[in-house]
Amino acid sequence: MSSVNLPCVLGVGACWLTAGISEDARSMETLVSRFKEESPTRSVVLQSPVDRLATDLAELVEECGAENWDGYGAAPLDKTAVSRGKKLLHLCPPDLPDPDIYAMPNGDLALDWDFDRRRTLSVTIAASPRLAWAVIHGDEEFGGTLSFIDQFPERLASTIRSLMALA
Amino acid sequence: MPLASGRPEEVADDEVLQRAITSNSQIAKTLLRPRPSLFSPPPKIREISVNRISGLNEDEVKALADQVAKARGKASSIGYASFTADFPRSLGLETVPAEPPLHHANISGWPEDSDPDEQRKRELQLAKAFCEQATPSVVWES
Repeated sequence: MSSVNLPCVLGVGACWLTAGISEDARSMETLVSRFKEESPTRSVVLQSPVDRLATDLAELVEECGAENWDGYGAAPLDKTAVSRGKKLLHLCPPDLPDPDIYAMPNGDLALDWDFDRRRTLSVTIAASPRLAWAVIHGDEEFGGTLSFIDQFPERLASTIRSLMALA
Repeated sequence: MPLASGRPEEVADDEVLQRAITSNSQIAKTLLRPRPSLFSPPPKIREISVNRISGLNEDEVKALADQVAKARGKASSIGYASFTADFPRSLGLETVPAEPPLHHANISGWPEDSDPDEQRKRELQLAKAFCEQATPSVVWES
């Protein structure tokens, strides 16, 4: 059985705590010390899904914020579209998986819920109050435009749930 | 009369067309699936640029994709998606040879609508159909 090697932080008088500990515990202490020495400034940040999406969005703005970001003549990612996209993501029901975020050549922000090749939904967000969406669901292909002002569109949520249900 | 590449002026239905991937925003790398952004025409050009790659070997195909990327200010291409020429035709689009550069063509005839939301919707649906047809994509090892 392993014991825990308490670090000798209380001064010389307290170092009796390290006496008589197991080899396993000494090995662990060595590993921890080495990690601290080799990675003095590295930290591991566990991001929430919302934070992760915010990071993805920030990276996207960086990559696609200038004219011709794709080399084919794309318009820069529209700032209003990004702002509306953030709002849509913030309102996304918690039972829905995180979408992939990317930019369209016309400057729209796009979100994909991609379950497999024939179960996928894409939404594009522009400065206008309407979202464009397109779905491939088995043999069906459909889509249209939806109003988005202050609520995540229910039609979108229910379609994503139906795609998920077949996963 | 054949073009400089030796290819016919008419693009045959069974010819394989390559769309070079030049941005991470054009592909879901984990799934090797292109995103609709790869198949949406830019707002001012209203065409998408492709290469005719039937009969070319793997190295030549990669060189063509890289040539596309370099001509557009990128260090190299990320990969490409491909499909046969009958597919855009089935959507009402036209593939028109446009050499030079060798093997190059443009897909034109994208919908124009006076309602911008309606146009976005139609373009997204077409682009999504391309994505479904064009998988799997080839991504070069970096």
